Amino acid sequence: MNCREFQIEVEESETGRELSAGAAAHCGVCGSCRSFFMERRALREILGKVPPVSAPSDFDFRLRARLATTGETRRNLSGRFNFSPGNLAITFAASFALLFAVTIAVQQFRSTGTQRATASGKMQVGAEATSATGASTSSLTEVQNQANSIVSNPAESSAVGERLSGANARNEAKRRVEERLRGMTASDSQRQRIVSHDFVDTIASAPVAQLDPEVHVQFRSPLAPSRLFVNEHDGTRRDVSLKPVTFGSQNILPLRRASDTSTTGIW
Amino acid sequence: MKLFIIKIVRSRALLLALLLSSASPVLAQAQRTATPATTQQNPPARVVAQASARPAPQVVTVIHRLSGIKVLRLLRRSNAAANASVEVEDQTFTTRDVHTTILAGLMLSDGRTVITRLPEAVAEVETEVRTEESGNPQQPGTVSISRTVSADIAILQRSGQQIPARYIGWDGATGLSLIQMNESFPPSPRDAVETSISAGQRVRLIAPLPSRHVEASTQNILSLRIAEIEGEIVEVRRGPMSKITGLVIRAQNLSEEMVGGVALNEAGETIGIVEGATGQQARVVPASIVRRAAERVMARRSSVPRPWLGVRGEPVSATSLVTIQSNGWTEEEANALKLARQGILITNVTPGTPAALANLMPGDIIWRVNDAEIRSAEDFSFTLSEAGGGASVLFTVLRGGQINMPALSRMPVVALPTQPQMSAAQQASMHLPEQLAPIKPLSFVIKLSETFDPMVAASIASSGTMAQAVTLTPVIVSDPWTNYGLETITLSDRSARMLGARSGLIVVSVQPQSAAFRAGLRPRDVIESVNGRLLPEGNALFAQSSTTHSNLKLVVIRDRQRLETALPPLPAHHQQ
Repeated sequence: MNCREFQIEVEESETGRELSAGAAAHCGVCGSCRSFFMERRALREILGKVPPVSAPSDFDFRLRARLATTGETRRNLSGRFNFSPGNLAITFAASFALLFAVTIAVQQFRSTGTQRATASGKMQVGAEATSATGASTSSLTEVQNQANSIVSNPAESSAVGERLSGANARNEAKRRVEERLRGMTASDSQRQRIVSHDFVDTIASAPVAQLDPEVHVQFRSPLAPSRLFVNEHDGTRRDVSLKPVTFGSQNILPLRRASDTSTTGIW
Repeated sequence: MKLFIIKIVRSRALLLALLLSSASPVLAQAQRTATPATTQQNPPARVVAQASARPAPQVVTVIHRLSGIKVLRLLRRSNAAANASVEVEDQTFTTRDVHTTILAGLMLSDGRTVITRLPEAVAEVETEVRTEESGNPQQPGTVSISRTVSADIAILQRSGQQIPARYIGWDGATGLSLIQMNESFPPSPRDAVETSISAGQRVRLIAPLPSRHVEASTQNILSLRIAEIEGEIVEVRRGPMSKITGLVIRAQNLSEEMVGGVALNEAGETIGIVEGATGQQARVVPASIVRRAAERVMARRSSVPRPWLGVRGEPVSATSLVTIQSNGWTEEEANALKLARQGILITNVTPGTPAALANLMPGDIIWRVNDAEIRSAEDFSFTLSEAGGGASVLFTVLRGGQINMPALSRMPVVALPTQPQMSAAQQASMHLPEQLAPIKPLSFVIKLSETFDPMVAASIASSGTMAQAVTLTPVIVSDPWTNYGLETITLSDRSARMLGARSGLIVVSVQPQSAAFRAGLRPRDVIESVNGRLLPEGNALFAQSSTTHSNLKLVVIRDRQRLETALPPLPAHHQQ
């Protein structure tokens, strides 16, 4: 019996059942299988001690009620967003608004890209990340000021919490502003990530300080990836794509072993 | 009619309301983004803060270019295409640059020599391994002589000028390479004193990084800068004699680009070179080990393979009790060994290696090397590296009483030496745990061999006989061509036709002073046929012919020209 057969037998045997003669003999000579067997036995013993859990008597009723409620909610949702063909004005208006918003967004995206391309020639990573967040920092300050004024001035808070009164209104207004703050902070962190992706895709997004002025390196050939294919005898065809440039000590071929020489376990 | 007008008015009002509601957040966003455009035009604070004199003068930028033929050589030596054919994308692949590595280098005190962690240095090494007589038939010594082909390496100056450098050699123990320039740089700061290095210290990791977006394009200009990431030493690993064997540094969001970077302390002194980085941790080879590697390579003026004992193993401290017991130790002994947390448990001995010839066996525990107690894999690697290939080293070994020796009965080639027992005084100095006192430690003096790639050497020796394993080169996987000093790789038919041949093998390396070199073969040649048989189909015939005493007639395609050459018969000791 080999290790694989032994492990299959252990996996498939019932709790408490003795090993077959072949498996027992294998267990005697193979250390790793012995430890495997002991681990499995201990695990089964632990699982066997867990008391059975029974469902409450009204489980079936509660499950059906829950399913029914979920179905009702779905029906309501679909009814609310039902656009009938006769409602042309609404459909037209919505489409126009969507088109307008998309146009503005595309223009904004283009202008941001141009600014980024211009700026990247003059600035370093850390500074760019800082300046990119500069705008939203100002809006964050604006919202924070708003929050402070709302909390300190109950008259303003009444506009936000129209139907609420007193402390409830203040709390509700504060909660909304805090939510908005959290949202903006999240969008800021997203924007930082995007800025760091301006550089090669694997570069660290760590705080990086630049020590030297920028240097331009000229290559003899264009910075385009090269490819070669390895056709195995069994018909497998592997596509090896080579990056034109890598920074740091990285193995360029995917199948090569890492050159860490310290802990290979071979001396 | 009135009702119809009301409906139209209502729908227009609704349309207007929708337009306003959708436009307002977009306009507001556009207004918000207008501010950074003006901000970005101003120079950021960090650019202004750039020092005119760089704070890390010992860190230079190294540029290493690999042509297509060297990439094929890498593929050949990585054993990734041993039984495969390769198809290149166009006929210029073998001649043009297909990859460039840009990384940090540490300038040594002479201002001319740079030590760096070139990842593909093996592509630049041509090695010839010779067996030398050591006077002891049980332990034939091997010596490796490497000659470097024309490596395309340059040092990038701050002005952007590239200074050509020549490749001196590769240190197998550390994976570091030594290169040298004709021009001199100003003297660099000294290394940090080992005693001053401690956990909690702040450090700076310095390496060149790209400074703007690079896309696959027709452009051939790249912009980069030397950059730094701040970090902190979180672990100082010490080996025998309390020497530092490694450092662990924590820094934010490290990436592979920082591997090969230089670590400096706050005073600007060198701490070491980054050998690996994952997540927020970087492993650093300390400066003392870096200097020793440089000394080894400079002493030979060529590449230095790793010392090669010929064992696989794991530190006892990291081995399970079950594994120790399954290697011939009783439960009581295994517990005592685990508590002692010392030694390397040998799990495999490669036939034909110094360890096998000295009669080390699986289950043995290497307790000491010379006077150094071995507690970890790093300790063992460090001690062997310090000794160096070819050195005779004293191993103190514990052997359990239940070791089975079935494998030895199948190896009648070598008469095994008697077990060398230690004296009582020597045994007392070992401070063995009480439970291990009945075990008599053994001492072995073993002359270490050398290899560039222990994993390949182990696989070669395991697959061959003991006698073969002694003479095989560790780097080149054995095939009929390697006996002539050639490394080849099979071309696909399409690629062969692209290079002007009907089919064949492309030569990726020719060993200097070899029979193939003397016959005029060079890298990039395509061997189309041997003795009239087209390759690679004729390879089997060639393998058979290589044992004969007649010349081999080769048809070679070089720059689309057809040439004929002959390889002389091999000397008797190469014939199998």
